Amino acid sequence: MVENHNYNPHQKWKFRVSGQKYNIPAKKQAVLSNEDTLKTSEIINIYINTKGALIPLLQTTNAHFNYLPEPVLKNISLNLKMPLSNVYGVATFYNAFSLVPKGKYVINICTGTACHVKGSFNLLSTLETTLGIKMGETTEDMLFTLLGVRCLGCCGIAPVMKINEDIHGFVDRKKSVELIEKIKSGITTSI
Amino acid sequence: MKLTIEDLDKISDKLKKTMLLREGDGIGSGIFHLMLCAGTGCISNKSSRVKEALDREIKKHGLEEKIHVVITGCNGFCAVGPVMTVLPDGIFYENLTEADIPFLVEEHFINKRPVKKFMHRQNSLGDGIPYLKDINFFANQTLIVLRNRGLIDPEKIDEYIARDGYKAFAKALTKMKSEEIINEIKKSSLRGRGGAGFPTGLKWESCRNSPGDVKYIICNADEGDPGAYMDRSIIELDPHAVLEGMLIGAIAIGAKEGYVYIRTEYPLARERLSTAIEQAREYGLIGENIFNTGFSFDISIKQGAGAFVCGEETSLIASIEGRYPEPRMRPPFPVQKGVWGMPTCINNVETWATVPKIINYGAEWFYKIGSEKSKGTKIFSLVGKITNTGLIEVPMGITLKEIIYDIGGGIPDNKKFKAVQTGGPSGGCIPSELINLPVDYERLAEAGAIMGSGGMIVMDEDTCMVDVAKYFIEFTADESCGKCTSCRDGASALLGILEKITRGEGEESDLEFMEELSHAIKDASMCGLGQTLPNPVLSTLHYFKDEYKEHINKKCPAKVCKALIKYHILESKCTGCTLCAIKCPVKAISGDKKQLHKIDQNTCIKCGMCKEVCKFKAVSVD
Repeated sequence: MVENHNYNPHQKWKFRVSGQKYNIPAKKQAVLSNEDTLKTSEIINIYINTKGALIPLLQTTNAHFNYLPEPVLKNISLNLKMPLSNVYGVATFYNAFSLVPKGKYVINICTGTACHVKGSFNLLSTLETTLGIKMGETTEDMLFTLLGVRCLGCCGIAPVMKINEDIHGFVDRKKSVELIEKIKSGITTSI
Repeated sequence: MKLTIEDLDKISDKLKKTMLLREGDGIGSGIFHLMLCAGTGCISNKSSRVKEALDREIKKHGLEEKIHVVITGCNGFCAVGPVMTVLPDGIFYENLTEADIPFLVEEHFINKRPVKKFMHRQNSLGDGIPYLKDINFFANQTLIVLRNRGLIDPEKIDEYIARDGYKAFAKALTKMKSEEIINEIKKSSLRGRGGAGFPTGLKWESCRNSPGDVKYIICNADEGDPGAYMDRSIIELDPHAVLEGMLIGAIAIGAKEGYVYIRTEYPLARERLSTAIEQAREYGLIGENIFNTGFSFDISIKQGAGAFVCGEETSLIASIEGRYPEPRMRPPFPVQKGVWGMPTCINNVETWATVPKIINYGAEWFYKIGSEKSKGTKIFSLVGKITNTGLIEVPMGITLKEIIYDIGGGIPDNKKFKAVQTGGPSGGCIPSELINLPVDYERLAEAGAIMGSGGMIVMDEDTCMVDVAKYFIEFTADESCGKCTSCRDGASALLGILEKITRGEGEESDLEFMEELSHAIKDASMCGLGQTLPNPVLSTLHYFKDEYKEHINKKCPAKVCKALIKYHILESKCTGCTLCAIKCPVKAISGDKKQLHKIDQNTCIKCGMCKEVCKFKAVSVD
């Protein structure tokens, strides 16, 4: 139940859950450095006058920060004169956007049909064990993020995995683990 | 530099010799063009390193004047990449690596002995086949949309022009009225290649007739179907064909602006397309007052952000406008009210790329190809458990058998063919009994599948059909935009039952309920995604009911569903080499050296690693 009925943006919302006062747990806030704030306004200025600016804007921001920090979303919402809920809705709908930072190496296991029938699910579980994280998570050292992707369009060389922008075809469990080891030891991202 | 129509001919004349050579004229002249594939597939197999090695070796032997390395788009035969064709002879080399190149260049070009080792073998005993035209994979295809495959560098507009490029556009612009263009497309019976098969001519006509001065056309390159990559390949190998098709469409419809909505997962295609747009703009083929006729048209790229539902026309429009991509009710149809509320004509990449050929060679010519109601050719991505995986273009009406056995080379490892899945998550599975089915829009729909955008995933006896149905429902449950309850909750309810069945907890009544639920989802959902999402369940229920029943009896015949299988080590075959125990990720295997090993069923996660690594075939599954 929401207690204060008159909306005042400066007032904090008070909630009650099952009759008890409920405090929303404090979130760790991402704070932007001056440089990042400048960059954000720079990106916003590129698109602000174009029609349908939101998605290209989020794409550029996501590419720059590697994710979408909350202050940036608020900034975008203010500048485009668009409700934050709208920006948030778009940012969470599309798979290309992330609200949490990603690792240095983003591993995408293709889960398209061709890769699935050739056993990409085994690949995924092997990497989950090797990296000690579940799909969608990032390792603590921020080195790897493990993701599933809907189809990379490389079905002729299935099963496929993509590490950052490098695509690797005909990957079996051994090859996938070897690739991870190679990156860990700092040799290379490609074989 | 802005071109005139005469300039197009001048460019073709200048490159005529090169093109003739590539078409096979001039064998023995000593000039060679090495057409090296640089599609996404071959690049991932390091074709760029092969290119560097080729350049290096050619320079070393001083053959720069005679041998030219040309980067081409996807050749189609992705299974054996990187691939290279030596023209004009047409000798085809496969599986090349950087290390092979010094030997290859010396043998082929210095000693004049084509190298058998790198040629294609149709079966393990057969000899290498030297010529591309003799390889079954290529010999049985009909190239119309892909007519420039392996013959041009997609990043050079001149080469496209030299292969009759932009001639259809010039013809449409100067010699045809817009009604004539629409009539020509109508006469050809071209149908939308994106999946639904709506007649393209009709769509253009209704968009033209919609009131409004500002109209848009869109190329839908949001190829979301998993297991399909035709659109990516077309853009990568012949981006100008798509642009030319859009230009012709713009004249017919009266549009001034066009968008290409392309998936974020296809960086190379996007790059090639934007290069193509820049080149066309520089030549004055896109922009203001084209060929001084007063006709203006501009194309820009809109990048998707990874949402399957964006393939649906109205949500694609929402996405271009920067909104949350929920589909909306139709009518009004996009041809009446599309982007920014203006009439908009949306066609798929393959449809746009077909248009210039129809204008160039005539509707009658196109009408003669194909089956009774489906005309022309269709590109399929032939993937999954098949020997020759890759991209093929075949006339409509060809049988599945011809595709799978003649072109695809059958199922590898002597396994039995079980089914083929077409149409992505909206399609269905066609069982092996229907192998003689002709492939066109009508026949596939009768069999409970759809043509879709052209994904064709072949499955063998090791594929579990319940798992496949579960896979697709998992996909659609995740990709449903959530607007309609029937699709959002229906898909998760279906998924719940399928998960229950694959866990071995299913009941006979579940099958009946699933069927009922499927029909309810079809009836109550608004857009194509919801209306077709139960198709994989319905078609597998129809053709593979026995397999569902076996799962209910706690057996997975294909040995895929992990809850229903157990791994054992056979006493008669185990040598006690300890390899499986070392490789097991959860250390579920125990046993001393040279002693029989044992799998602890409680710890085993059924990953199959032991079976994969055992050299003595001592691990069995039941």
